[in-house]
Amino acid sequence: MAIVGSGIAGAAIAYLLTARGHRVEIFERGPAYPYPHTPQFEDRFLHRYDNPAYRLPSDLQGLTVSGTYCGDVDHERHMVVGGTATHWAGIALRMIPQDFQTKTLYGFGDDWPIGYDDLEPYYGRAEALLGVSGTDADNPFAPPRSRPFPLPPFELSYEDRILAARLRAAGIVVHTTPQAATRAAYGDRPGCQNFGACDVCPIGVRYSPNYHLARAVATGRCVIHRETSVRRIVADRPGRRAVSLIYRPNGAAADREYQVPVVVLAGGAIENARLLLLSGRDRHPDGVPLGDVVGRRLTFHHLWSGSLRYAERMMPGRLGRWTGQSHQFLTPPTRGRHGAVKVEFSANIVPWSEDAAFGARSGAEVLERFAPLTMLRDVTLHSEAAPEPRRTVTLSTTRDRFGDPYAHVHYDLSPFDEATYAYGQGLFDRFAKATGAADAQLRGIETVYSGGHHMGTCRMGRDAADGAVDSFGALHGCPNLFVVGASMFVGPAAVNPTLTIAALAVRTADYLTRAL
Amino acid sequence: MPAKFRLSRRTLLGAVAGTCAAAALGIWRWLDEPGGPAWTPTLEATTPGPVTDATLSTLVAAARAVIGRPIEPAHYAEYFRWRAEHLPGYRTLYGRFAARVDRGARRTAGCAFAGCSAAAQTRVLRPASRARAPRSVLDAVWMAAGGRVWTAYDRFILDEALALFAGTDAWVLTGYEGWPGTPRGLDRYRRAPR
Repeated sequence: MAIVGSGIAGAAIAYLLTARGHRVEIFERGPAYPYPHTPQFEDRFLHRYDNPAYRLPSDLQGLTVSGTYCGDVDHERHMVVGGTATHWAGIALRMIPQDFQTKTLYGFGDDWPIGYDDLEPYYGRAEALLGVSGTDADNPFAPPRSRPFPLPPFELSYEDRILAARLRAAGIVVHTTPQAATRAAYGDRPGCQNFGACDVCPIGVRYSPNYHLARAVATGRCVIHRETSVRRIVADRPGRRAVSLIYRPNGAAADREYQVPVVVLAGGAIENARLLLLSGRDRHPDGVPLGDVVGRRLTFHHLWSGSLRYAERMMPGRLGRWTGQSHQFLTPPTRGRHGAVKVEFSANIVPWSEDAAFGARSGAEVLERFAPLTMLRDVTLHSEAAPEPRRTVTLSTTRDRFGDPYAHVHYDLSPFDEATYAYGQGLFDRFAKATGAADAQLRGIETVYSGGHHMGTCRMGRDAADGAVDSFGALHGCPNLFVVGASMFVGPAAVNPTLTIAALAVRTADYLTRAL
Repeated sequence: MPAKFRLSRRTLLGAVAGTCAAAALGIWRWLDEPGGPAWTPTLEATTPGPVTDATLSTLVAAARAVIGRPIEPAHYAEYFRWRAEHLPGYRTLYGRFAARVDRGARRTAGCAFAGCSAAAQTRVLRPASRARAPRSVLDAVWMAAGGRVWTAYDRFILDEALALFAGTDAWVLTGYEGWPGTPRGLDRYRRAPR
């Protein structure tokens, strides 16, 4: 089988299938990305060097955008072997049962064709696969689970405990954060040593898809074609089966064809939709039959950040990882008039500290700018958006190196999002008041950031009118062509999507094992 | 035969005055540009390679001088060494910088830069501040006459030293037990800061 894209979903499927004796060929447009990420760590922290070896040139990675979203959608994606999850924070949360039924329960979005109970066993297996450290003991809002976390949690930091105590007095619960980083040794992964360099963890504590890609390759049954672009998928004459991929190594002059019994698209919500649109029957007689669902309902995770300033020193950043957050507002009584919100304390002040040197003429100036950072806590509101058909991925008029149109992303905020922001602002103010912040500033609604979490575009549905794929990712009408990852999501929820991506991938891997 | 061109003294003086006024206006507008004058320093595309221990000592001494706070010198030396050996242009720039500040130190204080007092080192590095923010026509003339080489020293050596400081020693001087990039363990972060 062929997998297009080597991110967290593609890596999980490749690992599980090769472990069961199947052969897998992975096509990845991006360059190699060493694992453990020691060289990247040294570049970033020792040599302060932004290594171009890990970037694609602009004639291979790009997209065009319209709408009001101001973030850099293109570079929120990391097109390297291992994909965007080579850089992720590692926060590994389950969606809650209500997230799968927002239309029935709250009157917005759509219901998923599967429920939490269907996915629960796969959440457990995904947690084991990724090595998630966590506990539900301090989180009364956690969804039910059938097996414990594989590893103990990262305890709250000193400053989070102070804030948690003040919030508890105001009726707000702050608890630990489940995360795919090894609190203690786990298999051949070491326990965390708190380098504080989590996005390029030098010792493999934070999970990276490259961990399982290496194991898949080690079986001798997996080949990774890196720096290779898949240009389209070819279907048979009736359009009922995908039969081959047309691809080209990035530096080559001619296309090649790869005959394949099963194709899995795992290139992220934007590139999956783009490749399907490039492969559609409307463009090629031997194209893939597509309904009008593909490319629609692109949905971002909506993150808004704010800063709380205190009179005393909080010293954020003593642990590189995140610790305290609150899931108390995932199902507020007013959900439906606005989206759910997860509130998270961020401890990552590395970028701020680096900013302290900008324009400084002496160490004294740097220290003067650094000192106020010790009194700050950043709070991020992770908010749920409602899927909207008019948020789309279509084909751009701008083309890549091979002449293929890039994706065009259209993304606007809606009145629902404005209501969610207003709700989040109220929460932020409550947090500020309850914790005794001397000053509180939430950044404006226009600063919304996706967190690199792009969802929808090929959502699952019961039939072709309802969704592009079924709940296992098989394209309606073309059952040997699968779309996995966040592309399949029906709704985005307020929690980080990566564990759900992994759980769905494990479920699809089981399905493929039976089917193959 | 063309008519003989005549220029009265008054016209000549007017032309000279007008040219000077235009030049001054241009310089002032250039000085007022947002973000400073548009002399963006660049590195030459010279081959990376090792630098001498003496050059490294000079670079670390310059870092220490511009930072002006206690630092652990080892990671500054490693930083400069790596850049010289891996990135085009740095080795050449470092060599020229070391020669220049050594020359300046010997002339003004009678010692090699790395062996001079902090005050003498600061004096030698003063042109970097002048290059970063020229405030007068004299500064502009100095830049045009060769002072602009200091914009590269400022941007690629002194600025980078301050950025490295912000990511490392500044954390410790601000009260942290260690800086990101070093293994800090999982106990201290749960206790009150020192």
